[in-house]
Amino acid sequence: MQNRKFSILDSSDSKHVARVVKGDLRAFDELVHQYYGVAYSLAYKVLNNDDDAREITQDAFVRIHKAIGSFRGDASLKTWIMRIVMRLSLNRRRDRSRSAWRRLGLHHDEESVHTTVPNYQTPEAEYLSQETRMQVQRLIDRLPDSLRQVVILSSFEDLSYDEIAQILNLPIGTVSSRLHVARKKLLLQFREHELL
Amino acid sequence: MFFGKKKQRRLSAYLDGELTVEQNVDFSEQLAFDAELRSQLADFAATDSLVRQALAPARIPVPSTSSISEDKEIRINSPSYRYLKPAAFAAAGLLVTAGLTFASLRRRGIVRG
Repeated sequence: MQNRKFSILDSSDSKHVARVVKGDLRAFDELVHQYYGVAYSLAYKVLNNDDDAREITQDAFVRIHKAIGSFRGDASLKTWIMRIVMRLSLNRRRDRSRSAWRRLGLHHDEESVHTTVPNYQTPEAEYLSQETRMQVQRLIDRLPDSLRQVVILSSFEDLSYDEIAQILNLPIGTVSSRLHVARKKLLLQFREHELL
Repeated sequence: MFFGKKKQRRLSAYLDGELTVEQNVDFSEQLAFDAELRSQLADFAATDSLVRQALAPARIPVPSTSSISEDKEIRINSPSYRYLKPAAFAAAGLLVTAGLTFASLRRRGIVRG
């Protein structure tokens, strides 16, 4: 492993957790500030919607506050938090597609989840036109769930295969092979749509 | 492109920085002599870059403070947004450059201010 390292069990993690468990609201605030960005980004990447992502992130931190006493440090705090956010986001995504299906009679694959696209951009997003961005999102969205989840997590550059495996509760080998398959599929799709 | 499965997987692992030092040296050597492998690596890197750019949220909210409500429920008060406007950085850079240029011209007596 070289570039995508992330330290497992930071000592500051355990100190933080201990303070939060004791009811230190300031410690919880610090924790929220430290991990809000990554939690929101993950929820956004799964749901592709700002309102939903904010709601899920808030919900996740409420759950984290309630459950932090049970955090045993088997994984890093970041991994644990991302696991909670991932689960909530996937549930929301599932509910949303079910309700859309019922309401509109749409097939799951045809459902659009691109409801809100803000009209200004961060540095990462600035290179792509809105149209290209949406086209790429649509192609990622068409991947089977198992591949899409790995692609989403691998887009966080500091997550190792090991951490992705912990978040998704999969063997590392599965993460590695799914990521490879997903890359190949996306490459073909991007070429077909003249995005590359 | 027909690479062995092992080589293919290694390509992804190389891109993700998941190879050991030894594997990495070995794979870099292979890359140096294999144009097709290099081309596939570049394709994968381009794919990743497109994915990252497309998935990145346009804005990252910053939470304000947490509070505990009467029913002992934790609340994270509504987030504000931190904008990382590239234009702001560019403008600041331009201002600094202009200031330095002006000071330099003034020192040389080319302009008076």
